[in-house]
Amino acid sequence: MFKNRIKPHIKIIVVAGLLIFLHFIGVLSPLERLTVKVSQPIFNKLYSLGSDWRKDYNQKNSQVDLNAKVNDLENELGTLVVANARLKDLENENQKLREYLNFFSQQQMNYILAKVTSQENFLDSVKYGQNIIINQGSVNNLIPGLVVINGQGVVVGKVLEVKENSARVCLLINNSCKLVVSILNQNRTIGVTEGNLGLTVKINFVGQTEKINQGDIVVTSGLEKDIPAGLVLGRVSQINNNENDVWQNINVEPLVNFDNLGIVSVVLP
Amino acid sequence: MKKYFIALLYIGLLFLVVFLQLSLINSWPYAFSRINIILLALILFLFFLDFKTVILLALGLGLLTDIFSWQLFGFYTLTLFLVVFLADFLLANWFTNRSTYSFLALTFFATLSYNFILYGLFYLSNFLSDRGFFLWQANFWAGLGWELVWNLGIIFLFFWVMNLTTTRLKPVFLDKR
Repeated sequence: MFKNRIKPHIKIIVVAGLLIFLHFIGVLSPLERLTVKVSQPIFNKLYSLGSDWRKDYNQKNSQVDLNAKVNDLENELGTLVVANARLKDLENENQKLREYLNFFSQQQMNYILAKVTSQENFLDSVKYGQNIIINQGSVNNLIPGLVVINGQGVVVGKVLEVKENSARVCLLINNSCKLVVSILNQNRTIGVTEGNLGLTVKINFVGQTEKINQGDIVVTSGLEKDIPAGLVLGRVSQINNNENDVWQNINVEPLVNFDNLGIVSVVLP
Repeated sequence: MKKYFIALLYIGLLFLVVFLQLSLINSWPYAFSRINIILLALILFLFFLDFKTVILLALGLGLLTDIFSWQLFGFYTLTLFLVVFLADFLLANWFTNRSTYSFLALTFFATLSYNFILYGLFYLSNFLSDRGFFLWQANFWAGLGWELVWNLGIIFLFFWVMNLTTTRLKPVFLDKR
């Protein structure tokens, strides 16, 4: 019975197989490139419509938590004002020292702006789609492994794969998105981040002897090829130490709002 | 001339469905982003169009999704083909009328088979990576649950509205051969 239903349509199945084969030998590439290129403006528009709605929706849902957050932030503001004053002093001092040492070669980063055109959305992802697609690709010198930041310079993720006019970027919360980072504690502890259940980020391979505090800032370490040091990822939100474990269990709260990623920058080597 | 016009209309429709799914719906809040209009469109095609047209549309939908997808090329085409043949088999042998129950049962089976086949293929292609087996992941089942709720709800609503506006629902799924 099943065979009888397939038989009359064998030609279409063969055509489908042929088209897939032609894709793999590259014959269809110009047509595919054209389709992707022509579609990108529509994708941008639709994606921004969808993400605007998602942002509003999530904001409305989280209004209940806002009051508590305002209190926390007011407390934090006081601490930050003090820290800011101290840092300004240090900045002045640093400026003078640089002048004395004639050391002005401040590192300039090359970067390229990209629009987010869509979001991969698999059933096994949690709150956010864990990969985004951007509208810059290998023609703009993008290669896998480059770091992606938002408008404030906070790390969003890492380039996974590159096509001619688009690239696939894994977000920090993706389990397979790994970055070598440095925790800004006394020892500048090095660890490797990994997405945690699609919601937060955890740091692996930090030994039990390292002293980590809640609130410590996490930045890129500079140990990875093509990723500069000092780009902020987030802050340590939770430390669970079990003496029997080899490594500490550290959770990081990302400082980026993954709902609000219309435009990102890719840091070029 | 009319034939070309209809073909163009279908191509436009396929692009619209793929654009809406990949860029708009995928960026919606979690529960809403589980709507799968590619599959919904295919199920509706199955009910309203002849089987040959449905296969061609499945081919178009699959290829377009594959072009924009970052998975191995052909996965979506293969999955949609298999779902169409399975759904046709069910229509020809089990659901012999055009009742709402037939529509809902078909949507249920099509959604399950689509996701099991597609995620099975993803798993096989990532076999050596550290991605866990999808069936052991609670997120997969939660996502599948949402997708079923949306797909069944939308199909039910669609045919409820149709029943209000027309009485021309005839039993067309009896195998004519």
